[in-house]
Parts: sequence; structure tokens; C-alpha cells
Amino acid sequence: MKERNAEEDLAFIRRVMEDSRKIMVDDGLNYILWGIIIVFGLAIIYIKEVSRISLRSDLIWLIFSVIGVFLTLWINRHKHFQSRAKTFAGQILKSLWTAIALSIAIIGLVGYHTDSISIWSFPAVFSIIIGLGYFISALLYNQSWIKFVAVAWWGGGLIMFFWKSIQTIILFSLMMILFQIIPGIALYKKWRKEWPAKTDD
Amino acid sequence: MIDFDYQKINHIIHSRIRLAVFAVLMSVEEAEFTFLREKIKATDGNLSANLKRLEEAGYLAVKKELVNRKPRSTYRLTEKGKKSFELYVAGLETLIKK
Repeated sequence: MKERNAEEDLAFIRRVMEDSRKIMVDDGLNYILWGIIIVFGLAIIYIKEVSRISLRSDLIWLIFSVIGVFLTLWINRHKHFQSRAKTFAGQILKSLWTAIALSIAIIGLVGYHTDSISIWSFPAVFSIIIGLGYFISALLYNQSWIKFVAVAWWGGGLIMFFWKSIQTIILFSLMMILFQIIPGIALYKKWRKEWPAKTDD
Repeated sequence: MIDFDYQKINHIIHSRIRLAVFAVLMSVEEAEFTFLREKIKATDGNLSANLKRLEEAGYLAVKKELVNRKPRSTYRLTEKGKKSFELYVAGLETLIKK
């Protein structure tokens, strides 16, 4: 003990803190879940538009949103029991995506019912908002590749502002698969690698 | 090499294992026992004894719950713990500057 000095101790503290900060703050399951839900919703909307079936779009999204919220709550409850460390970054991440989901719901619901936003502009607007979420998430996850996901969302959003047609639904679905479900799977794989399931503790 | 002034140092924090506990819990808001054990690379018994000591000193708060019928302990630093650690680090920095 006498051999220890202040510099060594400070270096030790720094090393332990840096190592502890390098943990995955989230498992990415919610990205996969919401990606799948939205792709299913978009598929129904596309079929409805193409086949000219009389279905209320807002009701379709309401049903899918309720299913999504319930599944999210169930996943988060499961996560709470599995998580071995809670970080401030993880809490910011949760708040960020909750705020984004609420913003999208408000824009979608109010914009649709007041006709203030054209329904063909929704995918573009939502893409820009989702891009913002990914850009901030990149910092919170400490994963710079997520910034490219944000750029992809913004790029797709820009295209959809100019290209408004039924095919926009297909593009938006593809973006959901490529820039939401696949990144979610990548994050989940990384999380599983870092947090192997422990049953003996 | 600058030796510690043992009159001024907080001896509860000063132990390497307890110092590591503080460092981990300053980085994450709360951590489960197995997470701490993994990061600190300590044995169950050694870590438990040191966590108990920090808890008794009022530096740590522990939440015990049953998950899948197995006990789980989650630790977080109390305000007193955070303040003491900050003072400890400030003390080290002062020693280095001397």
C-alpha cells in the first residue's frame, strides 16, 4: 500500500471508469420490434391503396401502435430484470425515442385529421425525425456507424419530399428494413456478445 | 513518486477494490453484483465484504429483489458516496500538484 501513489490511483480510477463506460446502453430490440410493426402497417396501407379497399388508415395505425406499445412495455419489463447496469446514456436514449415516437404520433394523428400535412408527405417528415433520433443515438451508443444510418434516413426523407406517390410506401418500407430492422439486429448481436445470458447468478 | 498523506486520505475509499467499486458506480448509475464482479475482477466473498463496508459507511445503497426466484442485488452510490469520492479524487489531484 505504501508503494501506491496518487498518480497511480488516478490512472486506475480513469481506467476503470473508461472500461465501465464502454458498455452497450441498449439491446436494440425496440428498433427491430417497431421496424417490423411499421413494415406490416405499411404493407396493409399499400394493399389497401392498390386494391382500393375501404379501410381507415388512422385505425390501422392506431391498432398497430397499441400492439407496439404493449410489446414495448413487455420487452422493457423483461429488460429491467435482465439488465445488469443502468446508465445515464441509456435513460437519455429511452427518453429520446419516446419523444420521437410521440412527435410522430402527434404529427400523424393531428396532421391526418386536420389535413395540414399531405398524407404523402408523412414518410418524408417521419424519416427526417427518425434521422435525428439516430444521429443522437450514435453518440449515446458510442457507435459512429449509426451516424450513417441517420444520414440514410435524411437522404431518404429528402427523396420522399420530392417523390410523392404510392411507391413512396415501398421506399419507406425498404428504409425501415435497411435502416431500422438491420441496425437493430446489429445492435442486438453486439449487446448479446457483451452481455451473455447468465443463469447461474 | 509522491506518497499519500495517510492523515488526509479517506481510508474507506482508499482500498483498491473499494476504489474500483466507486469508479464503476460513478460511470454507471447502478450496477448489479455480477456486473461489479466482472468489472473489478474480484471474488464473490471479497467483493461482498467490501460492498458491505461501503454500505455501512453510507456510501452505497443496495436494492435487493428476487428475479426468477433468484436473489439479485443492485448497487448505486448515495449522495454522500458521490461527494466523498469527489473529495477523494480532488485530494489525489492536490497531492500530484504539490
